[in-house]
Amino acid sequence: MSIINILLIFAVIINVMFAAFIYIHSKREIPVFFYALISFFAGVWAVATFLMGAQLSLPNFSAAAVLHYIGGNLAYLAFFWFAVYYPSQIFKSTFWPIVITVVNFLILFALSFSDFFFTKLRLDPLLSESMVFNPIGYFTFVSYLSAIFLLGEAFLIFKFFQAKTKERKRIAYVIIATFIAGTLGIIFNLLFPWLGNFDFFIINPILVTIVLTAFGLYNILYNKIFDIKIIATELLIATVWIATLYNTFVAKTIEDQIIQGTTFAVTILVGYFLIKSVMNEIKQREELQRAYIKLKELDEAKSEFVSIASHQLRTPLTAIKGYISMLTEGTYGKLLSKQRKPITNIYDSNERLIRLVNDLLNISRIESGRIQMDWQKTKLEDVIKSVVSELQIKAKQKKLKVTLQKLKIPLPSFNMDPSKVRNVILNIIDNAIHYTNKGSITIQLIPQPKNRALQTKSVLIAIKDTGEGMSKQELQHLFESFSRGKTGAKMWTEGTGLGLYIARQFVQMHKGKIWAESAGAGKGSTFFIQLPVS
Amino acid sequence: MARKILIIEDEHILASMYADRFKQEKWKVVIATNSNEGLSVTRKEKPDIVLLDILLFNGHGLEYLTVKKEDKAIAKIPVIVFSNLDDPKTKEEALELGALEYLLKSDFTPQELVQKTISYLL
Repeated sequence: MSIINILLIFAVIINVMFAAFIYIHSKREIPVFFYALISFFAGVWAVATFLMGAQLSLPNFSAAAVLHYIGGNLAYLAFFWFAVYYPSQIFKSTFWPIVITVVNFLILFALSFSDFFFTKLRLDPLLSESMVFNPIGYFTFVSYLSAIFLLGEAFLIFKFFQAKTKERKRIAYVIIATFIAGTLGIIFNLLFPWLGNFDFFIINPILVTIVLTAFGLYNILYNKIFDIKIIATELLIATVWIATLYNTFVAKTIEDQIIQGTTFAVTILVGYFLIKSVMNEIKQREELQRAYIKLKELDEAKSEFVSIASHQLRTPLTAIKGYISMLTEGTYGKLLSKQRKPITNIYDSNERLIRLVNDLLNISRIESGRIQMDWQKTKLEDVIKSVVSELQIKAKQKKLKVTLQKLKIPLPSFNMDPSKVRNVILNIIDNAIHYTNKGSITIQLIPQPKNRALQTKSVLIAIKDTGEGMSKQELQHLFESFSRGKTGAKMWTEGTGLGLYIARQFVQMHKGKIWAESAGAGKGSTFFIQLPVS
Repeated sequence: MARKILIIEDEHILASMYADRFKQEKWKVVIATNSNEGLSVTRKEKPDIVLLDILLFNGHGLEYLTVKKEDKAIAKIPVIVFSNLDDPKTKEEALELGALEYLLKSDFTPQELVQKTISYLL
């Protein structure tokens, strides 16, 4: 068998396989159906071309010749209908396309059953001698085919200009591929033969197959229409099937035929399960992808809800805070001394609610990964001093001393989110005040390394109190959400149980560490925060 | 001369509360309840400073900032965003549109707000 015949057989197989692949894996949309038909009829055209060169008897050669022109014509007709529907239907009514199709089928009928197209068909080594065309029929056939081809291209070009930028690229590739393939067909299998040139008549199906398949595959892979895994798997399986089937036919002995035939049957079975398994895997991945997108949408919706809900909760709390503070200041007249305590209690309760709303919003953001860092070069001592200043009144009420031990050489300013660091230190000192009945709270800054001649790499903040202390078990669960030490549960119920959990998250966002130590109940506690200095 | 503040706030209780406090400091107070009204009052009254809420009943505080920024007659009037919406993205947008600061209402008493406002006019 000559190389051209082998390539023709490949052209047939590739066209038919491509058609089957496209159609099986598509969502069965109309344009895809017609695209698959183009490949299928190109395969029919290639088969007929192969048979025309296969030195058959006259009736078989005649049938092959008719099939060649019918197959080719139907590929162009399929392209015309593809252009009507891709990427969307160009006309509301398909009346005129149907009329065009009916006329086309009349021409094919005349070609098949009269001497409208072929005046004579005979066996001859030269194709130019084996077919004698009827000029009127040939001209009609070629003109009509060219007209529907150009009309199809015109539809696609019109849709190109109508389309959005993203879709234009895809349509452009289709126009280029079909224009090249269609023009090759008309020139080498219709125009040249009329002029007596059959040089490319036999090999043209190979050229057209290359163009159509190459562009088709590029479109599939570039636009990720189908998963590359399924394409590769099916290509591999198909190749094994073709090879084992071929071996079965060419086997010389019965025993070889049985072996090859059995191998072919086994590869069909194995291939089917392999393809099914790959398709299941792809399906699961797509479902996971859809679930992930849905989850993200829900997460966005939840985040927006939490923001709006906290806004709505804060509004009345702001009004209470504002009016109570103005009442205390005397804006609406002097308060009686016996009114001060209940008014102060209302203010404190309200502040507790505001803290709870803030903590819940922070927790929601931390757990959905939406918390943002506001990095600024800041002096840590200034942050701690502002916290100490804020809590002095509370500490004085309990007759507690809160002191920051000054460093001989101040720390350099370094990168931190000052509001978050402030939140952490405020939480810990506030806790210390609440869990300490007498004594003091001392804040010590320990630069590391201790040798200040060297560059400071981190700072350890130690907040020591003379309070109730904690057991080992309490220390273990201290930084979990909604957790308070057992002793703390008796002494102070104002804490939300979220403060230290949030503190730990904020410290970890700074790539730092936070922990607590205590010698036991009644022996005080020390909280440590280590922050890198950069 | 008495300082003038425009409070753009749709919650009547809060607007009234802050107005009382600023009046106590002898400020002249003008109130608007949405961004369009806020813009027309800003053009008419030319306040020394604007206190702007974000989530308004009719419109959004950021719309006020966007239009104000393009209007040369009022672009330079300082604005403090004062909202209970603790949203980093909104905060970033507000500051990009020229707000001096983005404060959370529930963090400040009216007295603290007055002090903060005065500090911007010094």
